[in-house]
Amino acid sequence: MSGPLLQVDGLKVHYPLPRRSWFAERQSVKAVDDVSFKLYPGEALGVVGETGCGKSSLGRAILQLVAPTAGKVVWLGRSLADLPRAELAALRGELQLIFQDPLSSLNPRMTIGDLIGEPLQLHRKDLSRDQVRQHVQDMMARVGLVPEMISRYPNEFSGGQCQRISIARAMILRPKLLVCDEPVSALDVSIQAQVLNLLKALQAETGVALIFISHDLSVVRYMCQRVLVMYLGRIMEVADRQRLFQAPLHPYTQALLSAVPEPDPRRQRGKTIVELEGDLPSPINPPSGCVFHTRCGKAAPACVSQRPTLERAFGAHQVACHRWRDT
Amino acid sequence: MSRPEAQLLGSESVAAAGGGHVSASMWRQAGRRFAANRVAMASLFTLGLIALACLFAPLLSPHTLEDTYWEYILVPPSLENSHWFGTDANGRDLFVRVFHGGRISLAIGVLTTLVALTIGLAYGATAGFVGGKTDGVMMRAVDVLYSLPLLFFIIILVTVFGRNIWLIFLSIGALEWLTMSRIVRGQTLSVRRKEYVESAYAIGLPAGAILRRYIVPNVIGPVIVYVTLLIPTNIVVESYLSFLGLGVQEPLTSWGLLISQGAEELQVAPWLLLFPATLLSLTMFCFNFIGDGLRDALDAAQR
Amino acid sequence: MIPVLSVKDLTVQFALGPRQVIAVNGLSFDLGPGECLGVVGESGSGKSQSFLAMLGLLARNGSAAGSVRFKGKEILNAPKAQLQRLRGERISMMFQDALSGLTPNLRIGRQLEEVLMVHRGLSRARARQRALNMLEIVKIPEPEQRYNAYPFELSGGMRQRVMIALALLCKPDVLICDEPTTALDVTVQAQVLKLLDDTRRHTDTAIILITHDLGVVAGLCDRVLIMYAGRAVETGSVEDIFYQAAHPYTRGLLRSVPRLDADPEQPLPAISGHPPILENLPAGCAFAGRCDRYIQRCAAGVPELRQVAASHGVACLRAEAAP
Repeated sequence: MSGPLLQVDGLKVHYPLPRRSWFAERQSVKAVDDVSFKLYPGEALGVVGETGCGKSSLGRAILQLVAPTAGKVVWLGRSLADLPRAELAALRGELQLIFQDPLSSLNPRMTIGDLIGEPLQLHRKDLSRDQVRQHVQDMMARVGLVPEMISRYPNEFSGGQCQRISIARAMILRPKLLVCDEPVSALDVSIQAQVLNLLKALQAETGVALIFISHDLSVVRYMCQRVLVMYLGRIMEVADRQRLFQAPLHPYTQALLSAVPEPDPRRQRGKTIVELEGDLPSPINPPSGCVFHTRCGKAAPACVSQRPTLERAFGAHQVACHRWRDT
Repeated sequence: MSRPEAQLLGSESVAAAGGGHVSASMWRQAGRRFAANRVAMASLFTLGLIALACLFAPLLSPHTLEDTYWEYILVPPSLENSHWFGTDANGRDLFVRVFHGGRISLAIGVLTTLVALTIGLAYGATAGFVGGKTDGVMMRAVDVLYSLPLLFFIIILVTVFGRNIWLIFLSIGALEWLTMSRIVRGQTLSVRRKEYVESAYAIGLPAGAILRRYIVPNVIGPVIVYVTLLIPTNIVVESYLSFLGLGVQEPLTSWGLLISQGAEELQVAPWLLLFPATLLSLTMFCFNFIGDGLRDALDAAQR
Repeated sequence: MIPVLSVKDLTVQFALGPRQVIAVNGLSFDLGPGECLGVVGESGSGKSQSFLAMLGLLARNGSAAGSVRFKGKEILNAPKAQLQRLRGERISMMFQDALSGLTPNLRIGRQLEEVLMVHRGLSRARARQRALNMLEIVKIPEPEQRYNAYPFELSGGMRQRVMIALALLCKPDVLICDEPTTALDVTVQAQVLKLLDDTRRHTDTAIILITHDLGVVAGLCDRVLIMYAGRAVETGSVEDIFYQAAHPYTRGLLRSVPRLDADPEQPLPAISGHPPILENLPAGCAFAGRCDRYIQRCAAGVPELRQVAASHGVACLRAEAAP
């Protein structure tokens, strides 16, 4: 196996809050707190977690759209934060992203052709106008848009079509990594499957690696071979799809999985849901030790005092829990 | 099988297959919507008429701005003696003076707004786009200037530099840009946080191009609306300066000055107030209706 | 069994300039006491508008026709005052966004008390007792403390619980929930759904659950109504809909959702195309353009909702065709 495409090392993203008074200590929201993982070429990695777990900040920090507070993002052996500005700008063609809200991620003042062609104009200066146009139309056809719509504006399209436009814009430079931040959450059910299949087909064709950020476990299971579970800015569990969904080790993953509503009345009514107690703690003052201990049914005194590290359980299955052996 | 093909491709291609649908940019859509707004279109038409009249009507009259007729002092409007709007206390023809005054008033309204727009757009967009401490310092400076009373400021300028029409342009414009810069900054801040701006960073677009292609085009809509509302405000500001004797100087005149002179003669010669006041109010209404129309048109097209 | 709510031929129109757009077309159903009905549809299917129309909450350019009987009494287009009383006491509604349903500047306890004082004429002391009791029922921890909290001090899940408490306070006959858990995280969603399930089991309140999420319906509902482009296309028991779906749209929806028990390597059978726009509906079946069982007759006229089994209705000419 070749080396990793992306290596994230002890990544932290803390957003400083305004001081309450001149003498008060400066507080910060710990959106991502000490996250490390590797991503290999062509892999699809799912990042799941609930609101406020830091999954979106993680995606943006990897792409250097927010500055990491600490830690490194290493892309093909080079630390992105240390790259000169021009080199990073040149690299951006290889790292792309698509967002949740299809309409607000497209500049309303640009035509579809300009939106999809912009990355080409920027990174492939050798192409003539006609060549760019040709590429754009080919790409439009590939993502299921009628190429004749090239001079239309985003507000003339439905949500599903806008998401196809975003995908075309992100994929036209043939990136090596595509970060998808909840790409289908805002779409109608019957459209979601179309977009997921499109992403999957494009991935198979181009070999692009995916970081697929979502709150929806069924979608992540369909899209990704490996899944990373986050809670309050930290990784709780990382495992292959097979193991994570069959035999989750972390109590949080277990609760999350049991809560997924399934479109099957007999299964849905037959299963027991692991209920979580209380509310999500504040990411400004996360709990000591294991951040999950305040809501965990299996919490022991060690969980309160000691922070569990992400340890290898079976093969590639990693979990950050003191008590995973008791499961 | 005559399957309804178009449906497969979704509603948009139905429109395309139907033919005749020319794709419209947001501006063209807004233009179409504006054209459908009868009040706004009527206002635009009226405003055009007023502007044309200000430019050309004085040429129709045999009189000039400075001609004084001692035999015709304070004569009421009449069609017989070529003083169609009557004359003032100095025997000058009001018809010529009202439209001449209109030139000055409209010019002040438009030019001061342009001054405000240029400074406000550059300042506000920079503050909003750069953000952080720069933004803080720049906006506090605006707050300080805001706290200076306009009148006080102008009186100082006038006493130092003397009364001068360019000074009026400058001083009104120099104060009105404050509000403009606040509006632009607010808009820029909200646009900057939009995901499409993030997507521009993600493809590696340089900051200048982001400002030009992503920020300014999305900020300009509300700014244009504000511009149409600022022009009448500035006309009014000029007229109250003139009313206080700080504005345009004789023999030049403006609607504000005419109104102030008319108010003095209200008992004897009500027409001296009636004509400039009517034209001024009409202009105000027109600009406001156009501004409202633009806002509606742009809001709808932006969705 | 006398239905609490009986809807016949409900039609909702909106005036868009000179044109009339039909958002809901000929909707009919009965709701028994204590029953839970799931109404499933995508954006533009008319699922929310039908219920807003029943309660007289349509936007100003909207109008409703047909018949809606609440316990045998016609309520569609009834006088405002009557509908308002009905909404407060007999039919409650809760929405996706709990924050907008609560007054931001009043403590939640106060908001609960007031409902009881106005609609039930209780004294403040007794209202407080009932309200606290209700907060316990919806499993709000430390209700005494939360009683004095402002809405913004509560988490999303907690607010949705308060909304449920508010909705159930007067023991309504019908509780209409419009996407009650869409804005919530899965673990919180599970808690809120459990609460609704308990309500259904322990009271006579009938629940109408409007949602796009088939998983939510599967866990909670007795009966399901599937809407597409303003019409009911299929209706039946949960078992009918999830295991014997007859309408190609319902079948397509069920197949296109990723499942935890399916093989992830198999491509999802997606429904092709997009939902039609209401201004531009085809003459025949609205789903014809996306349907894999299309025959020419489908474009000729809108198919009637017909019974294929005792409790199972389908609006499709080809419902019996082999899949």
